[in-house]
Amino acid sequence: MKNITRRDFTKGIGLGAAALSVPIKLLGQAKPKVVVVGGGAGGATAARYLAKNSKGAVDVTLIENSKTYTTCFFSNLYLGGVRDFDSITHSYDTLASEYKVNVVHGMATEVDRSGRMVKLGDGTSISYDRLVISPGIDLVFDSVPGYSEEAAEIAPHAWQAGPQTQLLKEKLDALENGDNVVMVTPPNPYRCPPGPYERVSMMAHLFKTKGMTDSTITIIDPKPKFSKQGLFTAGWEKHYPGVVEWLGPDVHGGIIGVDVEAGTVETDLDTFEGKLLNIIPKQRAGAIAHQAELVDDSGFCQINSDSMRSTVDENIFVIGDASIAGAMPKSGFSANSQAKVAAMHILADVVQSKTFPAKYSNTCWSMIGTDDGVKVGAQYESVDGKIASTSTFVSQGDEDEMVRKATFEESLGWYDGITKDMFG
Amino acid sequence: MANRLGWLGLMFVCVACGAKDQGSDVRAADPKVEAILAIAADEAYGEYLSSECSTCHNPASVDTGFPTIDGQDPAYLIQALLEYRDEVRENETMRSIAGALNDEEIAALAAYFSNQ
Repeated sequence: MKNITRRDFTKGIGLGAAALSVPIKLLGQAKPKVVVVGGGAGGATAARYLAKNSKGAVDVTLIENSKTYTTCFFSNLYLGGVRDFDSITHSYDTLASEYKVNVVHGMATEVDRSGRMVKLGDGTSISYDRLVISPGIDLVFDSVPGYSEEAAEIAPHAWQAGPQTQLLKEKLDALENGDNVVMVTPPNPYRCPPGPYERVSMMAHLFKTKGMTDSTITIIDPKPKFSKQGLFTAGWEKHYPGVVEWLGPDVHGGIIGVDVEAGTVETDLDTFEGKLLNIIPKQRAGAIAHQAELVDDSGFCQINSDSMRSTVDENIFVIGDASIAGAMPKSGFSANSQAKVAAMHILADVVQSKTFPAKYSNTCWSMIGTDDGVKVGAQYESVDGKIASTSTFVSQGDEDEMVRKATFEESLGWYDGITKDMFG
Repeated sequence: MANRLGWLGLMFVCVACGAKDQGSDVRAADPKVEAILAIAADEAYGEYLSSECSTCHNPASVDTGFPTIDGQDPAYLIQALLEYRDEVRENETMRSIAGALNDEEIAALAAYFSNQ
């Protein structure tokens, strides 16, 4: 695949650089057109900021297949019975009515990069001057031998929120005391690094509230360590003693495969049996990023760290989980932060607004138990062509209960804030 | 809501007497705040930087635990950000965010938010 860095095309004297320096409005077009593919934390934020900050000077189209959006963040709280499904599901109505974003519900299946068109599943095409690709992740089902999209109807992944989340909740609620859960967690990099471990916490919380004292959760992890490991391990011991067992690769020796009908996960060490299997496979950028040939060998998309602009196409920005964003984790907060940097550069391209040095931020809150919240976060800047953290923080193991309660309450406020920042 | 009305009240006071005077009434003694208030703030930069704040600090927010910072007195906001940056105020997230802001950026944010 041909790699063009931003330096190449901005410093070059080729057609690309010349075209970029001509204000698009002078090219005989009424309004510059920006198309956003994917209406999640990255795409919805990008659409809203593009529309809001251009004050009507840019025609913004958001292509999203679903009529409503269920956030992956806080979906574990739904599994644990702490939030209801409606409270994590959002509409695009305000983006359309208040921000005048053209919300198109359809599946973007193809990007014609030379013609600057996005093609939809129904055969229609939408042209663009700049394109934002924010499709999130696709699951590589067969990365766990025996697992498939069909198998996910029996052993849900629930790593893309929506019907899968509801299916997992249904199966979780149907468990009886003494039934066990086996979870297979994904290898790096994947969406929401602390997510699987928060999910385990919420499953254990549900068991505790239902008096299911004989049920256990076994985690078969392909990674030797995981996000906020010390905090989670101590939290499980405190709130759910004896319920959670985590097995790293040095113990299980490798995952051989799953049999969802039998409810088993086979490893080098042993075969683990669960009434409920939760299989979260390896991940890669959403299909549209692959079709548009924006991905590298890792399955994700390289971007310029100062702008989120694709390194292979100057008209395209890739944000959120699909991008390779240096030190930033794949999270809703990261995607929301990256969207604002991308929107700033897109508006500079199409209406010549000012740009400033990119600043990114992320915080991942996780709920371990009732009123027991922990967080990890960082600030980031573009340093030597990479997004690098400039300061980081993580909850301490010896914090008192009031701090943990405040952290949990802070996460509730954040959820309210970010979803309004995404959807208006 | 009480908070919101409080800030509206403050804004009217600011309009009447000038934002800087309002700040100096409260915190005239702090030369660090005065020094940042004296910086010729870039409000457009403040608008960009503010997008980082709005992930949590919602402009239309009811009580979410995150204080509303739109319409905030600039001296107060500068003081608060300096206290986070100097790790005097508690909250790891805000310490990290403020720790990544220089004086010009704090001035830009204070100028932008005070005019919202």
